[in-house]
Amino acid sequence: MHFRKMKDMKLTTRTGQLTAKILFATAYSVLAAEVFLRIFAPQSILPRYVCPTDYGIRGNEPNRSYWHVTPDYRINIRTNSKGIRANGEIPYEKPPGVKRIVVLGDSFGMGYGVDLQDTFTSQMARSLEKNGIKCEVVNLSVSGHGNAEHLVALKEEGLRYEPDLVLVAWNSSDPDDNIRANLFGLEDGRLVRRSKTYLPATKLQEVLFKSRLYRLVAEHSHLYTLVRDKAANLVKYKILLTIRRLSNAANSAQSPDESAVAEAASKYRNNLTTAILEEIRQQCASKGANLLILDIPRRVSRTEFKSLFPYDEAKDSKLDIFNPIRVFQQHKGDKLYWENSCGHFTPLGCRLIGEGLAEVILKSGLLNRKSSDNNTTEILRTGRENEQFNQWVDSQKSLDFFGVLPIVII
Amino acid sequence: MPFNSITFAVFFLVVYAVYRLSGRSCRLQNLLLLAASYIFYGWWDVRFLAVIAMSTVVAYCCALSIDRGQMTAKQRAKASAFLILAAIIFLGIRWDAVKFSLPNWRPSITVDWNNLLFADSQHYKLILGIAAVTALFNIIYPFLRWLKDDHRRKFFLIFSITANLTALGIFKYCNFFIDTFRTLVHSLLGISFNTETLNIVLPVGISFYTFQTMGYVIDVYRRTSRATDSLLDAAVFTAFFPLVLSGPIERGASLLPQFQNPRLIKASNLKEGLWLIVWGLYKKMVIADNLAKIVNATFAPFDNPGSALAVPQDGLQMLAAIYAFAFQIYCDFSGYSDIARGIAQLLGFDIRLNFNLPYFARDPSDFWRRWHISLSSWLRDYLYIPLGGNRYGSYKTGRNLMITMLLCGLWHGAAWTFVLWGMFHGTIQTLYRTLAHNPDSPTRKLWILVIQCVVMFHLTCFGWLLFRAQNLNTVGVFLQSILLHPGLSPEAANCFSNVAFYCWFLVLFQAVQGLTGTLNPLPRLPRFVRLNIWLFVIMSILSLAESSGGEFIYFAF
Repeated sequence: MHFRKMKDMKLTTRTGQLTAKILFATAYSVLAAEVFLRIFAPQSILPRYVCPTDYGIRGNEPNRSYWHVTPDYRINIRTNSKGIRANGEIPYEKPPGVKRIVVLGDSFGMGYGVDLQDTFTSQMARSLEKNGIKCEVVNLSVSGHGNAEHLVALKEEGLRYEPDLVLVAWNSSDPDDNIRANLFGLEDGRLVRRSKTYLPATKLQEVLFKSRLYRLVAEHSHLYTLVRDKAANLVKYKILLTIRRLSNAANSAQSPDESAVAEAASKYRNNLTTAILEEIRQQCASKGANLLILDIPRRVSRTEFKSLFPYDEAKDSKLDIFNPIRVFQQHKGDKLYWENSCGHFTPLGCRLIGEGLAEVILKSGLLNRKSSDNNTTEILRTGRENEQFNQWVDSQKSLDFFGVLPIVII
Repeated sequence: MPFNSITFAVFFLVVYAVYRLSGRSCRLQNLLLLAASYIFYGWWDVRFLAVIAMSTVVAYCCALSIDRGQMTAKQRAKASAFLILAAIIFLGIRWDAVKFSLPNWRPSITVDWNNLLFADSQHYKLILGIAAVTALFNIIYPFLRWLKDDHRRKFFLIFSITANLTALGIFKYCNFFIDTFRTLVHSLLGISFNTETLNIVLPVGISFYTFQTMGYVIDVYRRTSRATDSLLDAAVFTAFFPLVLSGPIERGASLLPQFQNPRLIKASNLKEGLWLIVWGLYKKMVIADNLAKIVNATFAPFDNPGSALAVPQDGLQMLAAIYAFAFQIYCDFSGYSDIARGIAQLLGFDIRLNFNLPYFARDPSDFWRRWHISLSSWLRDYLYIPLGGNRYGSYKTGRNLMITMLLCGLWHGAAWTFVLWGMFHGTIQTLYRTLAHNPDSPTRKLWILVIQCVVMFHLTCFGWLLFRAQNLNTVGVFLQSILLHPGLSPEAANCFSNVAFYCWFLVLFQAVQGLTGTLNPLPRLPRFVRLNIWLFVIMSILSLAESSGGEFIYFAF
């Protein structure tokens, strides 16, 4: 009996030791991984505080102040009571003698990567003021938004600011975001509302961000950022593949040719994007505002930039588009995008875009309110390329082990 | 399905689970390995499996006929049926018309019946051709017994070598020879004619498995290895998936018995196998793929044959790019070999070493004992020694070395830069042999050893310049830039710092390997140090791996 007890005790001690060893190894591994990342591969820590809005899409959390820290920069993001990245409150009523520009976009539009005074919207406003136009920017951009969310945000919130001009910062991820959001679809070529809400993972985020410890980890841990980004990219990629498969399946009934199916899916995506942008334009026109689209180029290298805007599908529309590739080419070799930090614009990149936008607005008189929806401005389309998003996705098909996709946070 | 893809990870996990579950039956495991190998290889292009099947049958029949004098009727029937069936399955069916999917985790197979068969008659002519040759072989075969034993053995050896070299010649060198012939005729006779180069796609790994089967038949001819009676063993020996794409080129005497005997998988095998896989992934994904960016950015302007660019003024950047390529190609290829050996170890196989710290080599002979060992030893055993080796004086030794290295260069690809690379290595080997009193005598002085290693590394780097350059003009431009304009620009400094950043751990680890005298020093290190090394390597793969990394370089060979 005594012998058995001794044996049991020994076994318990051994199990305890093993458990302690495993716990120590796990805790040490986490700590060592964090140290490794800080020394050898610092991550871009870009926490995104979004919450559901009353109109069923994501909005920036109101009255938040947080830091974005990357190997390239450290900036503060501050939102007002309406979740707008601004230093103060912006009333709906437009002050007399002031022109208003409502900006819709994603992280690029919101000015990730630069301080508030350096964002291209601030630079644009300053340039316009230098030319004697007093203007106020209402930046409704939210990281992760696509054009479908821009349209909803404009209808529900943007138009309440009585804008003279609406600026959509179009990003190459928008066509896929529009499909993923499923807020709108095309039926017989007409834009129809599909879903009332699109709130991916916001509930989970709300719950998690209630915990102070989680916030601390999310805002400071490189290991957490690495794991979250890998997981998010994987999920995004899987969703993208599922959507592609579904849309391919829908099209395959008409055509058995795989390339034709893929082309049709791409065409649908681009047509949907164009239809949403056209609807945004009509909404603006109904309130007498103009619409200008900023086509954000994709960076290939310091000297090469590509536009992925669906110009072919938009050729019959009345959209005014500003593409800064020509301006960028004049500064080729300079650092216009952050290269180690999710690829957002540097202050120089923002300045070039801001000044370019101001020039276009002034030359085309886009701040003069219109009574009809007739397009009166010069359509500015430069750097036109027929690059299709599908090609890019296909090139990424062979996923690297754990490496997944190099999708920027948008 | 490259080793560094999620697809392969899933594929291997499934195969491994079934493989371990069927551990009691050697035959069942071999069948599973054959199916897995064919799926793995067919992932690139199913049609090339017909080439593997042909290579298998040729090796099987020739080895048996050499070893036993005669194949039995049953063996011939089996081999013929296998070949014809393989031709029908791999050449007659359009496998892209068959789709496998997992909707809601339920496996489903959809077949596009309208496109299941090829529309053109080319594939069916090939099948008929294979069937005709098989029938002819079966008709002629019984008459071969009238040949003398020695003649018959020689006949089958020559037949096997000719068949393999013909396959290599058609798939790998055909266009090269047509182009060379056209250029030669144009330059010598002034006659220019338009011959269309054939639209032939190179079956991935053909140089590896043809050399493996050729080596097996030669070994049987030399009576250093026995032929296998089992067609299954011969098939899995030819197509074994860890090795089929980029080696190591195994020998029948060492690998075939492992298919015939039950596999013992010990915990130490698992540990070492896993380490080799992770270490190989680190070499490929962290070092090779990141250095590829530096290399490609520097070489890209010169890659276009028509480019006549000015000599760059920052020669040190060119030098950094060559260093980067030296590490890129080493990590790319040795990374693949490590992963292949690791996978094989998990499956219970012991695969020969392919790289043994090659940049620590003191002279060219030492380098070739450490670099791509399976190929260099193949060439030594089946080409250099039969040519006479170093037995007939320095002139013939030099000649034999030049022939061997020239063919080694040509083995890597059908281009004159590879031929030059081979000639360069042949020349420096000959020079070292001629100049050095006794090249193999080990020196005890560390500083002499270091100088020898540094000199050899730079000679190797010059070889890599020949290997990487797309044309001779590029070699000239790089040399001029390095020797005449050795300026250190910020870009050059950046290149050097990047090379140092990605390679420092490799160099440190290899120093430990060299000092401890073992390629796997982990078991000798304290547990805490081991944990940190594992963490470092895994975290590097997770955070530093180049996400758009390309395929393994040696797939092209």
